[in-house]
Amino acid sequence: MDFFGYHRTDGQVGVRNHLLVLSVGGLTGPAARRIAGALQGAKCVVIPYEGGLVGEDKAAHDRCALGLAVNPNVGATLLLGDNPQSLEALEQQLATRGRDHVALSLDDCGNDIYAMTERAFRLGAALIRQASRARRAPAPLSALTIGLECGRSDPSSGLVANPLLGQIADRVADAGGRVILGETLEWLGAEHLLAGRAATPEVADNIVTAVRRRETAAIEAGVDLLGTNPTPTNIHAGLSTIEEKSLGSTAKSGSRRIEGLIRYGETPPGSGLWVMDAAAYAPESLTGYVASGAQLTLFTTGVGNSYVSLLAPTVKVCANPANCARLGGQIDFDASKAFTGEISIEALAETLAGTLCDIASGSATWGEILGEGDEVVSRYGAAL
Amino acid sequence: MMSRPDSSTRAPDSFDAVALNPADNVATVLREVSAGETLCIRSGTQLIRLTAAAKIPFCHKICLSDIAAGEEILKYGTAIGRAYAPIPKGVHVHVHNISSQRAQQDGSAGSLGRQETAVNDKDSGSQR
Repeated sequence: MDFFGYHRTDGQVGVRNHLLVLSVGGLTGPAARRIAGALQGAKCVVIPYEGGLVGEDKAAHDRCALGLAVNPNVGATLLLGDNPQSLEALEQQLATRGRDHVALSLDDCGNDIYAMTERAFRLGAALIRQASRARRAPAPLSALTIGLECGRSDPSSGLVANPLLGQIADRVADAGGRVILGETLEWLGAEHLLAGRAATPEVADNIVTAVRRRETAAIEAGVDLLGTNPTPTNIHAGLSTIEEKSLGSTAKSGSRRIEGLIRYGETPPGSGLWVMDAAAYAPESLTGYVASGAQLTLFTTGVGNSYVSLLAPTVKVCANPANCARLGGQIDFDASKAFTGEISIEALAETLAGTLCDIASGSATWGEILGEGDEVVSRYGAAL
Repeated sequence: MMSRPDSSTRAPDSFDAVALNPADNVATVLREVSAGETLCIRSGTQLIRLTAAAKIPFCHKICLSDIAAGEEILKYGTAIGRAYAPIPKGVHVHVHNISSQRAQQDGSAGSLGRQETAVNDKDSGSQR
């Protein structure tokens, strides 16, 4: 099954053609929002931290800033930051890949925010005009990287919606595309099943270790997972333990071999199914997928969840009949007929694959129409 | 689906609850169930009959066989936790009688679990 996408100079294929206004620190965040707000179709991402980041925070910041800027859904990037040095590495990477971009720092503008606003506005307008010349052309399923998310789940997620995503995960992996499962804490209780599908014993160890690290962090923080994950909403809907939630959640990954464990925002080094060691909360998790190169995310919900990625169309899938009926104009794919037994999950996967290709080819998701998108980069520790 | 806005409306020949793995000792009810109702439950590929001993909210779990305190709760053929009290066949299985075996400080359910039990007794529990 093909889709129509934007073929980038670095070989990737975008499903959208955004101007990304990316503020790599917090000082230029308000200016970035002002400029993106004034330019039709521009998408603004502010990573509000930069100065004083160390260790894993610094690595995640740099990986995600680059990953978002080179995501294939981005047709051009306007980089804003404190000083030229903070933008240099990003500029070089974008230039190497032949991706359109302009960088502008406060220093470049004499620390005059009026000057920065005017210059960035003009530069952004020119970038949009240039990016608008791109045309969609046929692309194979193998060009896709998809992220798998669930949020505000109920038992219908684990019974139907997540196994349905698993079918799509298998199709994309079989076609030679990339599939990423994050939300490490939601492997807890199912990690032996994921480890059993690992390509090598080392990958299996990495999966178990990643889960153990989050579990230990919860114990050391004195946190009772009941009420944290599963959340009060999950519990009310009928999920009793993290193990129960995880067994449903990991069904999103389908059945194929797990090639490896990647870091948060890291690009998978090959095709197939990958697991990403990342926070489970949707805003951080989705941005991890997008920074890893995902053009699309598939997101199941049981009780409803409006949050989407800003840069990657996020397909909301729900199998709870009452909530599908109640949340019109928010659920992109109604999987409730598989819950009521009117259709098999396998048959519904065929329809969902078609919907996915439509959205990849330009059909809007409800989240895009409503503007429910954002990007949020994870933090790990204290800044200096 | 749109002709069936109420999730409690199901075709008469279908089942009321499902346990995906035949080893499971709990099943997920596909509609809200009242105490005393006899249910048709799909367990793996088999259909079994069971009388609900309590109200079970939509999508919550019903106990398929008497479970002793300390015994594992199996869903998807895998342990999802442990009973911390005996759970008779037909009753509601949730945070008031089972707990996770992982990331536990002391192995008991937190206060939130008990609060949720009170909430579930009052309403259908399908959403909020």
